[in-house]
Amino acid sequence: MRDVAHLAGNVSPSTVSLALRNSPRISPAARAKIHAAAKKIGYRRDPLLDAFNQHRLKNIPQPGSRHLAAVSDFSSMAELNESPHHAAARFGALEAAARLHCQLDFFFCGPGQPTPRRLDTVFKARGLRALLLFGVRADSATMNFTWTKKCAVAIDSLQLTTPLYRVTPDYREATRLLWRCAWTQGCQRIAIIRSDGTHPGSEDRAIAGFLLEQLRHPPAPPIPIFSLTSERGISTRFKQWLQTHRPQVILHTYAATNALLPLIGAAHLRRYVYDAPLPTIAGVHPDYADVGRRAVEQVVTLMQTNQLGLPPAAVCTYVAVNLPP
Amino acid sequence: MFTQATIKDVARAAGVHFTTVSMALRAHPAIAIKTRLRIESVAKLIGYQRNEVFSALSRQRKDRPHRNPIPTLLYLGRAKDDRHFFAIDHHRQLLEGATREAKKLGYRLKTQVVGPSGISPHELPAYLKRTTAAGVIIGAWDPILEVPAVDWNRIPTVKIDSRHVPAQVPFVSFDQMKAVTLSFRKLRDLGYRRIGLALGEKDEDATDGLHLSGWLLAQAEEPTPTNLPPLFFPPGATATMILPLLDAWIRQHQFDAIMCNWRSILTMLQTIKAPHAQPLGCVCLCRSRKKQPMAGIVPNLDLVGQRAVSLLGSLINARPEKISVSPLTSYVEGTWYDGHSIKPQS
Repeated sequence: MRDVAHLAGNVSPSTVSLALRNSPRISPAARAKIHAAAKKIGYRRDPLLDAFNQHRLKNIPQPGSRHLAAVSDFSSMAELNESPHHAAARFGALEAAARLHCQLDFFFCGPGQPTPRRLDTVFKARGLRALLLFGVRADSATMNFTWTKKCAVAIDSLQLTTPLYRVTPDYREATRLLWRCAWTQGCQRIAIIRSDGTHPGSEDRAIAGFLLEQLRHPPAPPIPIFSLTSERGISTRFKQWLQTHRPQVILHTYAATNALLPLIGAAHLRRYVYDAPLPTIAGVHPDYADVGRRAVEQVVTLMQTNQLGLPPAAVCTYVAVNLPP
Repeated sequence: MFTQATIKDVARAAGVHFTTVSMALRAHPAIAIKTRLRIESVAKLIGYQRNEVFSALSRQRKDRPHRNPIPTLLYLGRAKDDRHFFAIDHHRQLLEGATREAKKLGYRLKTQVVGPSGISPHELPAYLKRTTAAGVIIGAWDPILEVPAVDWNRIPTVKIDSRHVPAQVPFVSFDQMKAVTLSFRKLRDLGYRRIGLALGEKDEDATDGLHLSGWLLAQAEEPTPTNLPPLFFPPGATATMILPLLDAWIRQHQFDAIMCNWRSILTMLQTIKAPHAQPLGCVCLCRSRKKQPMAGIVPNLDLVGQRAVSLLGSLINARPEKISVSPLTSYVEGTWYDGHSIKPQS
């Protein structure tokens, strides 16, 4: 093996070993070179030793970097945990990391915390190559990390313009399910509320799903989407909207609940939340822990297969949602 | 007296032949998963463990050449015109990305066409039963062709498009919704006002309404919704049948730009006289990579193929208890390409 290592351009014997086992940790080019070198001098893996090692290493975690960094541009863990969505996703992420023998550390780059550039230096020093973007502010369009030597998976964060690997619940399916559920219960006037830009990307998909279902049985007269804004006079606008369009059911985000409740008051109206984090709320309860789990699984796969840098085009993975029984 | 459990003890307890036990514990594809799981649990109960050193010794025989097989992934192709499967640009791009990723992950990708030129759909279940492939990709099957009845739970599987195939497995596709919203925004920025959407009806069924979702969303974001209805090309219609439909629709709604998922849209529009002095703007939602006058979205099909293999790889590597339960869908965004078919409007 040392001879092969020497012939293939002074690589380390462990590189040779990995390459001959076709490990994705070695780049295909280097693998081809080492295979050629081994063939040239007639080196073959000892199958007996191989089997013995495999048996021995079966239950031992693989070596290599086992550290993941979860990054948020919030200012602290307390702020992150204020949202039950983040808390659930964090729980799932930690669980998956533990199962895959990884350590997941949290870093914050929000107000009063180090800048992304500073964190870059920290990650470099610690050899952290795998990032999990977690809890990104609604108004952030980018996060200034150096992506070239890192792999990253984002949870939700559809507002970031950087092409990324993302994992998020399938909100388009969630609103479609709720619409159909309300329709089969005999409600004909179903409406959707747009929040004040708390989760722009996710809300877009939710609204798209709602509109698609509505297209099948368009209400007459049509109900426009009501946008919740923080401006004054919102309550009169909402009352007018209620009176003119007379919705029986409204769909909205969990974040909009507090703003909506005083507006609705005593009006007879059913509400469904399409991103409910708790089973006590009526609506769809996406499995946020599973979203966190998936994100960790993906970032670990990227890290183990040496796929560093941003993807050439954004890739989004949607986790399926179901209606509660 | 204490003796170590042997393979025959396991066979007796599980009520099968000892070669079945041997194959099951090596996860041989010829043994059904149910049987394998049962035998594994019996072996665990009895405390039988394979002797790795012995099996390595028995695998290596002096008279046999030493084999070091590279695990294979099977890419199942199925298209309307399957004799020219490898000449179809769509499939070629998917395969290109899939092959690249498979090589990177240390697999060999084998392509098998299901249809008159390859194995027949009826043979497929038996073929999958005896294959030694580590995983299978259902590669963008045409929805109009019959679907062979296969138990996809036997082997790790990922599907590209093929929504109609009833396999509860991870699914990868091109993000048609994003293609529509992005094209709409580009046309708006250029000053187009009355934008129309034309789709093949079959294509829209196959995407589960993704184009339409994007279209409705883009319209809802407008300050003054125009409410222009989309046009659906009926299934099986040819260009000559569609032209009058398209013409009437454009005249009725006075469009100044059209988005369509068919690549023939530009030639079709050129044969229709536009109602305005200016020519109609035209965007293809599924453009080819080649240089051409038509602006539009290029679906990154090689990335779709790559993504499918990468998902399949993690599915194979995950031990059963490591697989999360809910099914996944993964969408790859397309890339916008400019072209002469759209111009800034005054």
